[in-house]
Amino acid sequence: MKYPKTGMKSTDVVLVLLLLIPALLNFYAPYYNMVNPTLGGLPFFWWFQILLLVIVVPFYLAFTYLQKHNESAEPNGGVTS
Amino acid sequence: MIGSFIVLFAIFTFLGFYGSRWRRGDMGQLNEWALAGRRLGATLAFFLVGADLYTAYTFVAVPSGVYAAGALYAFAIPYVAITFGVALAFAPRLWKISKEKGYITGSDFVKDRFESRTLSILLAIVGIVALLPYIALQIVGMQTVLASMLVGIANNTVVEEVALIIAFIILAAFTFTSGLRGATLTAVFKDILIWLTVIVVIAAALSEIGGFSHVFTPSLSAKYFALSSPQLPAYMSLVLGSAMALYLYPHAVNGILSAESAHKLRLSTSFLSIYGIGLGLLALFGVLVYAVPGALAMVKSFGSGLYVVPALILNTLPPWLAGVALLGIFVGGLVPAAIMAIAQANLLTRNIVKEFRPNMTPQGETRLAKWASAAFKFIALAFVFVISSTYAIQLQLLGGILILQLFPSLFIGLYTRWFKKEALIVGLLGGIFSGVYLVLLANHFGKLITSVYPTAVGSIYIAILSLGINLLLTIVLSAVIPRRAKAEEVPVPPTKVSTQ
Repeated sequence: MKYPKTGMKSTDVVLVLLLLIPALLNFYAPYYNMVNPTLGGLPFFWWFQILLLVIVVPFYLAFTYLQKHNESAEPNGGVTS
Repeated sequence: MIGSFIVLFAIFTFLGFYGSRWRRGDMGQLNEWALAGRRLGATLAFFLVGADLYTAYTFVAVPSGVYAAGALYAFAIPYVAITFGVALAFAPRLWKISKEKGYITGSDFVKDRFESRTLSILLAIVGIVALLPYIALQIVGMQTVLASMLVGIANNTVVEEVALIIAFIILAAFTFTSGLRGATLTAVFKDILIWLTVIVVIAAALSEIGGFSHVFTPSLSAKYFALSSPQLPAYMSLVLGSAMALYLYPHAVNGILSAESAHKLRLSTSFLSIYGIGLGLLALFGVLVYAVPGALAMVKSFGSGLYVVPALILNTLPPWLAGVALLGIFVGGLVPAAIMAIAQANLLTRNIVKEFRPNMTPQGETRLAKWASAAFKFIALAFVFVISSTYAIQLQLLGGILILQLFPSLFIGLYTRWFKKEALIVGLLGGIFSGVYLVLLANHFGKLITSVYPTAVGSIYIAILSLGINLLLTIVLSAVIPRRAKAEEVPVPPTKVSTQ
């Protein structure tokens, strides 16, 4: 890639993971595609996916605040365009 | 029931008109009408984007799909969870670059970034066209609500036709007068009604039925419990394609750019998946309906799964409350449709017409935008007739196939300039044409009932297949085409020349 910035920093890796992990948890359907255990009569497939909607929030919030922290460190706000 | 519907609709209309005066800017200016002057804080941005994203798709199309085809259409739940991650990766960067350079559409960005007027115009055209079926879906949603209230007045066919005409007129009038400010204010109102509806209906239905264990009984078809193995590739590709596509829509870009700061944008986005819980519960209504005989009978009398949620509302709530709930769904189609139409008009005037008539006055621009948005709604109406109503969700999926083709230029382009403009143009066209062709092929050139195409590894959402073709063309051509020292297209203003 002919678009070098300062290279990947360790916080960048963390940022990527904070988005990648929730994405994979939701995307890879085979692991949650089952009926049992049910919750109040609701199959696992249904209630687990609804639960995932809540599970992703702390990941996204961590991403948000880590970015804010990074940006206050860089005066130009990270825009390199 | 109709009484409470009308009273609340009057309040809603008032908010729409009031909204056009609220925090008033100069409404003759296009970015005032269309971007609310870029002054929305985290809370309002949350509601605006929420209104963009939770639409008739959620209230009508997804439950209908689940009702007819089962767990497959639950893909909307993980799609919502992932799409906000995609948004976090790209939207704040788009916001920052746009703020710095004064862009108000995705086309503005692409034009400057790749120094290509052609690419920018193409992007605007694809954005406008991709929104047409999405708007059509909102019209279908509004029609469904009205028809379910008018049932019994005449036969169902007549009721549906009258409902369609009324829905269309209300939409056109609303968009014309309110602009994005009005839509945002009404979005807050809409969301309150929606949450109320979801919670009340699920509580009422479950107490009547006696819990989910009476819904998911052994007599219910297995397709409602979980996916069959052959459905997995379709499911996963629908999740991925939808999640990557959502924030490429012009109205979503509008939502992004009207935020007050990048941090506020991220913060509101982080919480948006919570909204998906409502979507998940509504999807379950498609199963729940089988346990409520009165509602099931109504759905069957219309012969369309679209009536799942309205029928459950009418059969489990007292009439006055049913009116409130139905209004929630009605404006749940109306507000997003207005926001989408505004985004279309914005693109047309700013990125297409102005390219050829640069001397337009701001007043002339706004007038054109308002009339264009009315015209686009008529074209959208045509899409209502090319689908089988139970599978109205295909309208949104069709929009997704088209809009996802902007991914390389609009999103990947935020992080790299390596792509060549010619490559992006060829890739975009390759993606669009292959997408449309595969859709026609998958549906045997008839009514739209599917958006997946059978491949060697199973059925895959066409958006993903076409994006593959698009990316392949873009990457190969970018590698092959030699880089020129200077841009060939003269009319591009020399904003910032690439230094490579």
